[in-house]
Amino acid sequence: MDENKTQISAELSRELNLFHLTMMGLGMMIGAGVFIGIGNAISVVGPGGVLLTFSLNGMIAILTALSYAELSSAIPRAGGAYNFARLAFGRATSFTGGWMEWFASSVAGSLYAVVFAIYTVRYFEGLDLLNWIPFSTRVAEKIVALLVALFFLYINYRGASETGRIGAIFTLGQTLFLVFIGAAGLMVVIKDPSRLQNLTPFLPFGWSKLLVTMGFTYVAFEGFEVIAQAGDEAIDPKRNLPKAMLYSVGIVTFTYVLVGFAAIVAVKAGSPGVEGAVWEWIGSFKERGFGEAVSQLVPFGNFLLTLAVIFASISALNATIFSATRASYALGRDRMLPKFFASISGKHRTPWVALMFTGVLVIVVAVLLPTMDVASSASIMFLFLFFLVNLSVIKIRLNMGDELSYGFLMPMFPWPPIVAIICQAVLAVWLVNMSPLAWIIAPTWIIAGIAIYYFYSRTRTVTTDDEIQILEEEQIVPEGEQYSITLGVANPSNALEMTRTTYFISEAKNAKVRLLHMVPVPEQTPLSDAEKFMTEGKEGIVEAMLCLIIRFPITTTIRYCRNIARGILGAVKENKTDLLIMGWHGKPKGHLFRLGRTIDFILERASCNVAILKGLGNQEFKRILVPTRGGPNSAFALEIAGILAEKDDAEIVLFVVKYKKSKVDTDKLSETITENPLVNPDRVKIKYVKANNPVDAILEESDKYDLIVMGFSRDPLIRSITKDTLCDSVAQKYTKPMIIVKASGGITSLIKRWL
Amino acid sequence: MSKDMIFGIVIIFGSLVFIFITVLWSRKTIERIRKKKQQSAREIIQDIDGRK
Repeated sequence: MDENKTQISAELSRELNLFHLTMMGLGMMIGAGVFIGIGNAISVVGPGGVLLTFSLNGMIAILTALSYAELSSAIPRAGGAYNFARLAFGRATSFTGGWMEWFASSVAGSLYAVVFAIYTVRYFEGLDLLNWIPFSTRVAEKIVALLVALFFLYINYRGASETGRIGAIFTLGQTLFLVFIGAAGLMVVIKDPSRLQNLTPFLPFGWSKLLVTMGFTYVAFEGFEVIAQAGDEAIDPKRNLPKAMLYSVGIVTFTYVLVGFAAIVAVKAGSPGVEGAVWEWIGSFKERGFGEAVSQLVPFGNFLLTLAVIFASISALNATIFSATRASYALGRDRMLPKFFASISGKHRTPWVALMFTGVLVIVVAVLLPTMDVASSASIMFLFLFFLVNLSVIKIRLNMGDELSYGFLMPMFPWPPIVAIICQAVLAVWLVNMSPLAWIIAPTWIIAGIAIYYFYSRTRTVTTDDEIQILEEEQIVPEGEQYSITLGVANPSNALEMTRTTYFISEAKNAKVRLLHMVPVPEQTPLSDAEKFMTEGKEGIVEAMLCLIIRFPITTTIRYCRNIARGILGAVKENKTDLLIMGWHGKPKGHLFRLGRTIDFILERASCNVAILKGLGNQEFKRILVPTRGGPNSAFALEIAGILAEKDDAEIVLFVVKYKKSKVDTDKLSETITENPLVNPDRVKIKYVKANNPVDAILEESDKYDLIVMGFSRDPLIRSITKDTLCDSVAQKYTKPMIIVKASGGITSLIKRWL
Repeated sequence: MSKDMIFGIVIIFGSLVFIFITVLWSRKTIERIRKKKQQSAREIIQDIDGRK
């Protein structure tokens, strides 16, 4: 803690503008996939299939780019998927994210080294300069790949990483070269329309093969995520990061389709050396196919292409080694991997151990695996990584949408990430047809990561500021299997209002009660000063304790948190609470939330039963109204009403409003009354009414009652953001005492709410 | 022209148009959010829905 106080904060200077960021993404994407992808893909799906492969992959990539764009606009910090997963799912998943990112970037680096080698060897072979070597071309390619990887590992060790500005100029050159090839292809077709015949047959092997080629060329669309890593160095990151991601995916998709088209029409059918259909001829060269086709398209095509590939692959190789090293260094820094991963070289100030392990990975994969298995392994790992980011964007929007400050929100949420997840899952599964080895390597790596986390990292990770910690806890009751109630106490008056009801419920349920007070501590405040914020809450806890402790033993807990709602949910989950009771003072004026920032969140996300009490005080209730539609929340509302009615000798009226096409299962309603041992059926009456507006009908009826107990409406969050539910509308307008309840629906409810 | 070709061309151009529109829409949204200096997801959604 003292260390924190004396630390001098430092930040990187913000120098990367929208152009630099876009070029950064483009530079990573136009690294290899398109050069080796076209030749390989055309032999599997034919000429039309290549164009379809790139356009459909672009569509999937833009959906994932929307997720990255939204997340990086809200969390513009270096770390990318590792950061997002940590916020969304906690340490274990974030470790897996970082672990996958490390491998994916390293394998992508291997691929770039291999592509560099293939095109360099091909060029020198064409000049008859490799006749003297005593081994095959394949071996020569592997040796060149090894040498180039070693060279860039050394460059990274020296810390002489290429800067954003110089890299941007290189990338612009590569992109313009590809656009030039595309334009040349279009010119050729305009001059000689018969070249369009090269597109037939459009899909010689049918549509199903598309999934295979989409899978292994997906690596050509990875790279935009590296923009998220530049959050600390970007100018106006909330605006420029999302724009750069979407622009780069848009530009590469158009470029790839154009270049793919140019490669297909570049070769004239029947020209010397071209036997059979053009697409078969290009496909016969496999990863060299693109080069062979383009060399026939423009003067000095061979030389220009080799130059472009060399620049593209070395800039991408350098960037991926840098990115992979940063990922493993971050894992070491947070003690998720052994501490030595975070060792910094004293001389060059670079993370040399992380770099060394990254180097081993890059070299082993590049040298030992065939090119297509390298491409497939990289693709599959990026698919898994993007899968995780798409899940994170949903979770973060639902859980922290009200806390984060967004610079961009995707349209039609949550459908883009859901569609992306489904498509990526299909592509990943189909990759087994292209490379069974990739399907052994990738899951083995992930399983190894999970094992490392559970057997090593879990107990060693560094605790961070954003995690909830207990400040003070007084344990009086021994923990057991007893029904557990947590009473959330905000201040003394709020505590006293709830004690009577809590007492009745806990007595009826034979429950143990835990008083909980959350101390919200601002981000800027050091944790050591958290106690300054707990005075009022402590008074509330003492007041409630004085009232309750004379009736039964209780436990008290005071915790600090950065966000009250998440803090309460964390405590509820940790303590295995069955029922959470909280107070509510009505909706604040002009507030954007339905019931309130904390209450909305808890009702939407709590894993236990919840009862929200409004204005109950210590009064008795003789007539209790329970509006119902027969669902699980209504049954729980009736149970709470039954407990209170028994104490106050009250009458309960189940109020059923029939409107529009709403259906009420009367048999189920009767069962609800008779089957619950805490409800005395003699006290319950059922009243049916027909009305066009159920809110008005309930409010009109409520005049005759002392208390309303109502189930929370289970509308999906997105729908309920834009439209108030029945329960919200009644709660906002009703001024007398009220209890809103939500029953825990178990795993089915959880999945439904997620979807 | 075969059915595969017609269908394939429609998909290719459809994908490109989809990407183009998504990028333009996103650009517009980013600028809109920036001008309004909105904060949370809820505020932005409510503004887009015209409920504010």
